[in-house]
Amino acid sequence: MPLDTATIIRRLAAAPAQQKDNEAQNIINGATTDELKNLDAEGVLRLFEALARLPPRIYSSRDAAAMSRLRDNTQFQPVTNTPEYGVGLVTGARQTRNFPLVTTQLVNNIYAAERTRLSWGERIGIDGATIGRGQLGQPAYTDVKTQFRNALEACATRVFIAELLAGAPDPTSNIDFGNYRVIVPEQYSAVIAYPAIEDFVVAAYLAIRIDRATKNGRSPQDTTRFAVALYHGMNQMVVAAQNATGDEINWGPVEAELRSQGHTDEADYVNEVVR
Amino acid sequence: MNRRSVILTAASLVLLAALAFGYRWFSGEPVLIVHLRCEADVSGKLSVVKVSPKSSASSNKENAEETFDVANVCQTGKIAIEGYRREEAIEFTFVGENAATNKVVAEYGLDIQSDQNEFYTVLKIKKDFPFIIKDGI
Repeated sequence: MPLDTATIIRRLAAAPAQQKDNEAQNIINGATTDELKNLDAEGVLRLFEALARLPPRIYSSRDAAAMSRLRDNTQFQPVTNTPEYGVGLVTGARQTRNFPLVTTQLVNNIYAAERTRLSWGERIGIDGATIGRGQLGQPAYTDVKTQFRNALEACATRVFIAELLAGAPDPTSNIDFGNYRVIVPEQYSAVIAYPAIEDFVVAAYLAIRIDRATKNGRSPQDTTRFAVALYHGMNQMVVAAQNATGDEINWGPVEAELRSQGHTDEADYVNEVVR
Repeated sequence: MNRRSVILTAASLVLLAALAFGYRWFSGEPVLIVHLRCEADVSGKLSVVKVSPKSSASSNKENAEETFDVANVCQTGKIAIEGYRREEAIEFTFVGENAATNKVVAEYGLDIQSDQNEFYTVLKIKKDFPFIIKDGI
C-alpha cells in the first residue's frame, strides 16, 4: 500500500510516546522517493513533528538523516523559479477573465516601474501605505486572499514548509502544528519577506485588475493597459479622461487626455509596464 | 535669531507636520467613489443605501439612505460615500421625473473595486429604462 497521510497518522499513533521519532525514521527510510514526493503538507508536517518536536525532543543524527531524506524528496522544495512560479499558480487557477494576460514579464515590468518611482523615504526603508517591490497595500492583499484563497495557500504551503525543512529541527512561526497546516499571513507586511509569495500576490492582483478592466470591444493589450493604470491607483484620472474623450473602450484617447491634463508620469508608467 | 532658536523652530515645524500627517492618516474614513456617466439632461433622484454582508456583525443594522439630485451629481461626475466598509454592497435606486423607477445592487468584488487608497464603482445613468446600469472603467 503506498504511503499516505492516513498511514502516517496510524503508524505514529501506534508507536510508544518516546519512540515516535524512531517510527518517523522508519516511515521515511522505508518510503520510496515517489511516495515521499507525493506526501501532502499534513503528512510532511506530522513527520517533521515526530522527528523534531515530540518528547523526548532529542534530535539524533538518525533523526537528522531522516529529515534530510524527507527534505530532499518532498514536493515542497524552495522556489527558485520566481516570478514564474507565482504567475503559473495564478494562471493555473483560471479564476479571472483574460488570465493568460498575466505574464512574468508584466510582473517584472511592474517591479521595474515601481523601483524607479520610489521616494527618498521608501528607498531608505520608510514605507507608506504601499510596500514591497510591487508597491501594494493591505487592501490589495485582502482582495487576493479572498479571490485566490486556495492558490495563495498552496504558494504559502510550499514556501513555508521548504523553509521549515531547511531550518530543521527549529520550528518556524508560519506553521500551525495543531491543524498541520501553514498559516497564511494576515498582513501584507508579513508577505514581502518571502519573494515567491510576494510575486504570487502581485501576479494575482494583476489578474484581478485585468478581470475588472475586461470590457466588450476592448483589445487584450488595452485591457492590460487599463488594468495596469488601475493597479497604479489611477481610477479617478482614468474615469475623468474617459469622460472627457467620450471613449470608454480604447486606451489611446485616454492616454492622450492624461498627457494633456499633465499626468505624464502616470501615462509613462503604463507604457513602461505594457510594451 | 540664534542657532538654538533656529533648531527649535525647525524641530517644532517637523513635529507639527508629523502630527498633521498622522491625524490625517488615522482619522481618514474609507470612501467609496461612485463615478457617474450620465446622459445629457438626465434628471431625477438617486438614492444610495449600504447593504452589510450577511456574515458581518453589523448585518442587522439599518443603514441610512442618502438621496442625491441626479442633475447636480451628474454635473460633478461622482458621488463620495463616506464610511464605506469593505464587502458592503450598495443599493442604488433611481426615481425619474415621472416616478418611473429602477434599482440595482453593486456588489463588492464584482462592481465595487478597491484602489490603493479608496473604493470605487461606476454607474451609468440614462433617461430611458433601465435608467441606471452598472459599468466598469
